[in-house]
Amino acid sequence: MTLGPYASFIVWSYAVCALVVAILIVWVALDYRKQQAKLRALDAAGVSRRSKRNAAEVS
Amino acid sequence: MTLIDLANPTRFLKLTERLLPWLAGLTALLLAIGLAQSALAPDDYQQGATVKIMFVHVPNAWLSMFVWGIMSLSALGTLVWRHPLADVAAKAAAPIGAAFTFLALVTGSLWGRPMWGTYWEWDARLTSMLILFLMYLGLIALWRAVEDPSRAARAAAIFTLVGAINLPIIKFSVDWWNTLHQPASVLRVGGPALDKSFLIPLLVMAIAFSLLFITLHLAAMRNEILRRRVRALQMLQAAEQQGQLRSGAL
Repeated sequence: MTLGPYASFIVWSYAVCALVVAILIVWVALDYRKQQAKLRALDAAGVSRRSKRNAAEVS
Repeated sequence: MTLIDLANPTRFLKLTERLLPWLAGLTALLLAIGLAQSALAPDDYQQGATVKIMFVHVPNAWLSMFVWGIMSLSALGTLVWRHPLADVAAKAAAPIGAAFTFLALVTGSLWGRPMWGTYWEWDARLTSMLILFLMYLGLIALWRAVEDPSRAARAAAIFTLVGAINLPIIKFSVDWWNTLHQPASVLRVGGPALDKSFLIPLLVMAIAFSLLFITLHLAAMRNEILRRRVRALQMLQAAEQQGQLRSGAL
């Protein structure tokens, strides 16, 4: 496969796409971890959702 | 499970957990096939190998408009039906739509330089796409600027519906005005004008990018639901602490 005289434009197009998609994937994954960590910290501090509390009180 | 069951965020989260690994795997597989087909596609008789930029530029351009369309439907869900997941869906889609629009602009610019002799021209198609990108950024800023989530949701929904006017302008700009940008060659009356050797890799890449959007969107919606739970619990914690302080003072 030869990309001809404009190879750099083609390579840059695919490279920018790969970079932005990678950033999106990492951002979504890190955000998920962050929210889960916050929920765990709140749970450890005894702050839980009403539905969870009611279930605990019933049992 | 019926569609109405998905209105419940807890059920939605459970479904998302089950679907995401499959969607991610399918997206990776289709992207690999699409990239291989793009690499093996023949050179165009006029454009040479630069035609390969089309396989990433066009899916991004389609998705940039499709995502705003999805957000417009979500905006209706927020304003008319007050669906609990409608604002979550719109808010989660906006950064992904902005990224696709950015990629459409950058890859278009990189394609334009060797073909038109310029990276940028203030013609109708390019300018309307730039406006779409700025609208995405404005919408993200609006959500961040308004602290009350329900007020932010309503304002963002109105902004989204007004902004949807730009979608037909982008689509038909190449027909309504004289532009450097070529007219539609796939979604047009009379069928696609592209040869199969270009059309098939393009469609595979378009499906792969659409699946990528669905995967990222579901994951971002899950994150947004968790963020709202965190916010609700933090407010509950603050209220409990205030109550304890008051009873202590008495």
